[in-house]
Amino acid sequence: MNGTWRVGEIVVVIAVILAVLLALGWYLSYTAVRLDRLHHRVKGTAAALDAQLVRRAEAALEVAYLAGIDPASATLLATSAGRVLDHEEAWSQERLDAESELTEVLRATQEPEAAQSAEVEELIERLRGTGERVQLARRFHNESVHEARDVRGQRLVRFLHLAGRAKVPLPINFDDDWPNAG
Amino acid sequence: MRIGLVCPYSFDVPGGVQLHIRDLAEFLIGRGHHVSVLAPADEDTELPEYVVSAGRAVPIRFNGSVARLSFGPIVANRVQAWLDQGDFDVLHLHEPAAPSLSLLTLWAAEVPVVATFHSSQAKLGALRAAQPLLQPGLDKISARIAVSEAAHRTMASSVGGTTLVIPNGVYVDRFCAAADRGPDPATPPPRIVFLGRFAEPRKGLPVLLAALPLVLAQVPDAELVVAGPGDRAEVKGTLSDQVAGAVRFIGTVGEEEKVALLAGANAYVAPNTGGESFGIILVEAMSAGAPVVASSLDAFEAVIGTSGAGVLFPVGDHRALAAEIVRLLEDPAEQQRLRSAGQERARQFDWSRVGARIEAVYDSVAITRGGPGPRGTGSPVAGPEGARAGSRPSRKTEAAAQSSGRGRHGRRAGGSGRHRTEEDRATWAASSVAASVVPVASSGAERVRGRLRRWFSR
Repeated sequence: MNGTWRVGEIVVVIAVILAVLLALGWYLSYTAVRLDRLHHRVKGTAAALDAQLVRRAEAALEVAYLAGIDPASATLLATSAGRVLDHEEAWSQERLDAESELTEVLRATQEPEAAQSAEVEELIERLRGTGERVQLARRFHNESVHEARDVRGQRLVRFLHLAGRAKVPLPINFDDDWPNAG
Repeated sequence: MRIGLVCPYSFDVPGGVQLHIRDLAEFLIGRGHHVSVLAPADEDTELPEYVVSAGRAVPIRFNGSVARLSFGPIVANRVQAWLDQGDFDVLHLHEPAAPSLSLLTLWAAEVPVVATFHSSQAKLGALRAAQPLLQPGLDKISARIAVSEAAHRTMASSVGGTTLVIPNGVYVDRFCAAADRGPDPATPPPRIVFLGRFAEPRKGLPVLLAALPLVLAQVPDAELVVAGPGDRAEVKGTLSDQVAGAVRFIGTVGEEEKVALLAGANAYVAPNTGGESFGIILVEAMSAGAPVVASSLDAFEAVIGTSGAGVLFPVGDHRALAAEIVRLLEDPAEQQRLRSAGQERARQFDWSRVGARIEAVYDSVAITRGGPGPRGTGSPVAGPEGARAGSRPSRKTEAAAQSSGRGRHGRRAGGSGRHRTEEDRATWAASSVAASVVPVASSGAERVRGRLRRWFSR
């Protein structure tokens, strides 16, 4: 009688251990898939920000050449936009500096005072639009980075290297404060 | 740009979210984008050409009212087909936390996703229980939009993350055209207007009906016009003779009738008691030039603002409502002031503003490198004509996508991405068994996973 109790207990203990292992396994695979997805999103938002930055620089170049602003500002604008376009894709510190510099120049550039043709108005409007989109894109990117890093920061994830060889995503920071949000 | 919009609610029935999506789609098409809307709809419903039906919708209780949603494996297949065919740059899902089409699309999505949260729910226990099921989808959303601060709060507490608040839009001009006519002062009776699915308690018709005898005591010739779908006999049965004589039910009204009705109103009353996250109807009423009396829900307060563009009364307080209506009906000057203040305020919500902000969000998550031609080739001084053609978002430059080395096509061809989606869909099928929403034939392994998920979601 005592023996059957033992068998029953052992079965229960084994069942509990199995259940815990299964649960753990499910949780780990769930988290690994989730991390993969978050990294994927980070790549996407970074690419989107990259695209918007290129558009901003291109729009700035067009404004420099076509919008009839004073020649000194135009030269500054064209130079810094050109510098931005020289940097291909990688998020090097030089590129971030170039972007901040372009923002600074945009802030300093005065809009032409006299009434402008509709085409020039449209150019300037488009440049302003790209500035807003850069702000949005950077915000969305840093948000996705933040979420991915949150999950990576969990103790279990770090301990078991669930993130694999995926690089630690980094927030992208530079001065994009033009035009004023609102 | 190629944009896919997903509407979780049936297009057969008019509703705030559906109208928002229709207007947004038309705005975007007007801006030169390629737009396709996926929505549940009955086979025989006549749909605008940009809408693709995802199949019939089933009425389900959700968020305090009956929503018509569609889901299940057949619908999931249709979603996949729509995504494959659409080849979208951006997906814009609405109400992604609702157990429906938006969620299905989210599971299958491989392109950047924008999501708009419309509802503000007080009770989120159910949502939290489903968190492990929702999280994989929510992780894919690049940009979150809430239509109001109330919706933002709901979202922040359930799914976290920062959000942009972009209100719903209205084509203000469509309503203004009728507003010029205004109510004919020579024709009493003073008219109070109520619009909406009046059988739903949260729309607040009972509050207005309770206020009506008090109004009639002061303004005996006032009449109440109730427009919207519902069982009028049921409501009429509960009314006293005096009140029944002053109430006129006109059933569902078309867009033009609605505008005329609002423009001719001496008071438009929105006595809603809850469940509203954005008062689009208030914006419409203000655009049409109706003096607005609304319950002081957060969503309504946000629309009316601090500008005094409408009158607010405490939620559910029929005495206060009656007092406000009487004050308004007896004061034509105040009506006139509210008319113009309301129209002024409504401009804030015009599609030209709202749509441009949504467009900016799409651009800031989409990966295509557009601009004037592929990078590096085009001369910067291409004439404005060329520049404009190049920037037309619909002209996606394949070369640019490839040169950037991470165009959609490259990613899609990759085996791992594909595989992941298959897996996602399998688990979705399994999880719908777990939630016992629809019976799905699935393999043993999937069933086990489904059970585990259910176990963990408790």
